[in-house]
Amino acid sequence: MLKKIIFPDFLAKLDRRLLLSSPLLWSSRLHHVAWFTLLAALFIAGVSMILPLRILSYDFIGFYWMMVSLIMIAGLIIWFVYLFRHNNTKQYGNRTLGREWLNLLYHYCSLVLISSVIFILPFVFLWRAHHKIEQSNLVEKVNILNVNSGFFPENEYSIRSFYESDDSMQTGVVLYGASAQMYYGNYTYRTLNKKLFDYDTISARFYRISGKAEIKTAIAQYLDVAKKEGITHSYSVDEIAALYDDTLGYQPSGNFEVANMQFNSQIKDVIDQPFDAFDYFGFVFEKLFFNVWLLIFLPILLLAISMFRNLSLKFFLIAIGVTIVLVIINAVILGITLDDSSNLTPYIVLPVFFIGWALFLLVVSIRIFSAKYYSAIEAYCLFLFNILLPLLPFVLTVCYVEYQIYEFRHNNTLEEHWIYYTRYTFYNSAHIATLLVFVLLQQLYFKPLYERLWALPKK
Amino acid sequence: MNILKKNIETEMQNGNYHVALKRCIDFALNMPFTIEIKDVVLAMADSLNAEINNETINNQITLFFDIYERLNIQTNAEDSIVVDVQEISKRYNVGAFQFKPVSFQLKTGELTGIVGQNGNGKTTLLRMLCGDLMPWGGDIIYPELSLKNDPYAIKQYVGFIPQRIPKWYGKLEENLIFTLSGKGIPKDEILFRVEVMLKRLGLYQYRQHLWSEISSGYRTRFELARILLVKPKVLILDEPLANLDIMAQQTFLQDLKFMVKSEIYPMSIILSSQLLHEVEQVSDNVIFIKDGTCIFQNGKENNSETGVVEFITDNSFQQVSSIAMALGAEIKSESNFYTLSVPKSITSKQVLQSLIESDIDIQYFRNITNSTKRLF
Repeated sequence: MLKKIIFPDFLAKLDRRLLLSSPLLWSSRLHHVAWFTLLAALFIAGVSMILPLRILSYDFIGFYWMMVSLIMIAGLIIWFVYLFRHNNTKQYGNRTLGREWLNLLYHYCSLVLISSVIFILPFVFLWRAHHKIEQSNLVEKVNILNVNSGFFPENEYSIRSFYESDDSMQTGVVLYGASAQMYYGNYTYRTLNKKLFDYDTISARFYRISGKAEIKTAIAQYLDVAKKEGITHSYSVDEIAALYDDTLGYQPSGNFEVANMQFNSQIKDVIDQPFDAFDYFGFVFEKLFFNVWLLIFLPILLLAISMFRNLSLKFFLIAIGVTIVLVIINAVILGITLDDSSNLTPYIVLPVFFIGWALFLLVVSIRIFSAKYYSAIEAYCLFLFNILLPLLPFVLTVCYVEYQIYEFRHNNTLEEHWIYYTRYTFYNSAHIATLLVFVLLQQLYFKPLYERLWALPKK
Repeated sequence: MNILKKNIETEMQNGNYHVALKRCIDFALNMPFTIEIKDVVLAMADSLNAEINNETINNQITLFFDIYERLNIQTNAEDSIVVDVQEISKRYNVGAFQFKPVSFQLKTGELTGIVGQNGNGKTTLLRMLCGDLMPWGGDIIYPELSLKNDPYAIKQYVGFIPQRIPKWYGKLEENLIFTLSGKGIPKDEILFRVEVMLKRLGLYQYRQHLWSEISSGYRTRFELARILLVKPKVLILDEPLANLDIMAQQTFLQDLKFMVKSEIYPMSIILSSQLLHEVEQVSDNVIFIKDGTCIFQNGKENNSETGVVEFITDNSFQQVSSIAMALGAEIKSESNFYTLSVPKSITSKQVLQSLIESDIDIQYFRNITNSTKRLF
């Protein structure tokens, strides 16, 4: 039964049909990857639906990323070994530039599918969070919580009142926003704003301008909603209202503070669940994430796989060995240089270091293209060159922007921080440039690379 | 076609109906694909692996020739040079082995054998010919390739079956289908050619098997099937007989001899083997390699002034040497194995007669005058 589900009949029929009508697609095993990814995605989606939102915590997220990353890496390794072994294209294939591009596209799709498994749980959790936020009673809860922000100073959403009244806080928020957009993107930030502030029908000001009866009603309503969620305050409405009567002269007792904090903490647990999902997973909707993941990281991985797939196991082992040696050398050189330098040095050392490597690998690459035979080491250098060169625009731009930020770091005026904020556009430009260089290089390299490495005689 | 017809008639007269079928199938695999051909060739391929009476086979072959004549297919009988080897040599970075310069040409319609002891450079020569190894000196020219020394084109032009067949993955039939489907051939034709090839080489019952599930002999057959489906101009085989049983060796060599002289798609075949006499029997040319030095023998005629025979007997050396002296022959012996070099005026038949008349108990006797064996 299980075998029938994992290897259904239609998959075998599809396999045969592709073998005859689209051998390149058959050889790429994209159909197998798609099927097994679907199975894995369904399984993870099922688990994600069952898990409560409150499970989200740093510990859980760490555990999840580790586990799913391991599964994804295992999947990639299995796929890679499978391709390496079943490399019919290498053994029997007709190789043309068009076919190589098509092959590349199939492999890219496979990579995207395999690597997408890792994001199934975030997507499901985000969907559930959206769904929960859409429910009006939750918005009410948030609003009620907001109206009571005067009672419960731990409530982080009261930041808006500060934001509206304090210029320095306004600067802080802009910086926070820029920072969020830089590193996590603005999806989470925007979503939180929209859901919280736009629905904040009873603002903190309500409390300040309201009469005792209205405040008492608000407190009662708030505690009532909390009670429905199974959370009760140690103090009654009247006791809280009585305490509140004399706000200016009142110093709350230690008991009330403790009870208040516990209550607040429990309320936040319920209210924050969906927002935790945005905090932890919101980045998957970000442009920056897609740029880096889909346009830079995966194509490089793809290039590595495509090259290894067309070469021998010996080449693969040599590549691993050389990589380890290079990583050690780079780590030592960069480590010593950066550790023992002023703050400005990284912005000079890093580009120089990258350009140095690129030049060295360029010389080796020219050598292999003019040679009548190849050695595995030379071929590997060629591969490194292919990886390194497309990254140069990105690295140089990052260095330049970081240097600009360094200069602005100690300025506090809002105008200057907005300049800092607009540097973000440089990053976008760098991503696009990197992608273009990558595509251009592959166009120049793929066919000669494959033909030479596959067909050149040995020394 | 006349050659084929004559060949098949001879085989049928000798009662070799299965051989006649094989010849027809091999010929058909080089013909353009049509529905009529498909049906009759598949029927013939089925007959190969079944107990079919001779009359049915006869009918199938007659029908095949009828269709062939109606299709009016052009034959290609002209021999052309496919590989021109010019003074190539080889030296490795490690070890003292040197492959000394050699020149020769390979033509379509010719089968060339390479013989020599182990470690003398047979595989080195073959790997250079197929573009797998870079010659240290000299040049290999493939006249039919437009781009000179294009390594990618050479791989398509030359089919190479190494001594150790590289491992393949997946099912046997899938691999064969992929070989053709990547070349833009219609589905029906792919399925037809693969099925016929599987039946022709006795692989049909193993079509769903994996590499690990078949013997080394069948792996060699698979590799041959794959290469033949691709139809290279030059076929290079490194020790192909090593994995075959004694009966299969003979059949295999006869099949190669027929393929090389195909009237529609003639090719050039070069193979190495330790089975000297078997290879010499079917080869048009023989290359003998000793310590990296090649001696190319164009044709089988030997212009030496002496004839050479070898034989095995348990009789004493004195008895044999007295006969050799009487014949004016030079004698070499190793245990009970004797080699006699006699003047060319004395035939091998006369030598054998003398031995029998002297009551020598002959267990084995062979005339190696025209064989490279005498060079060992």
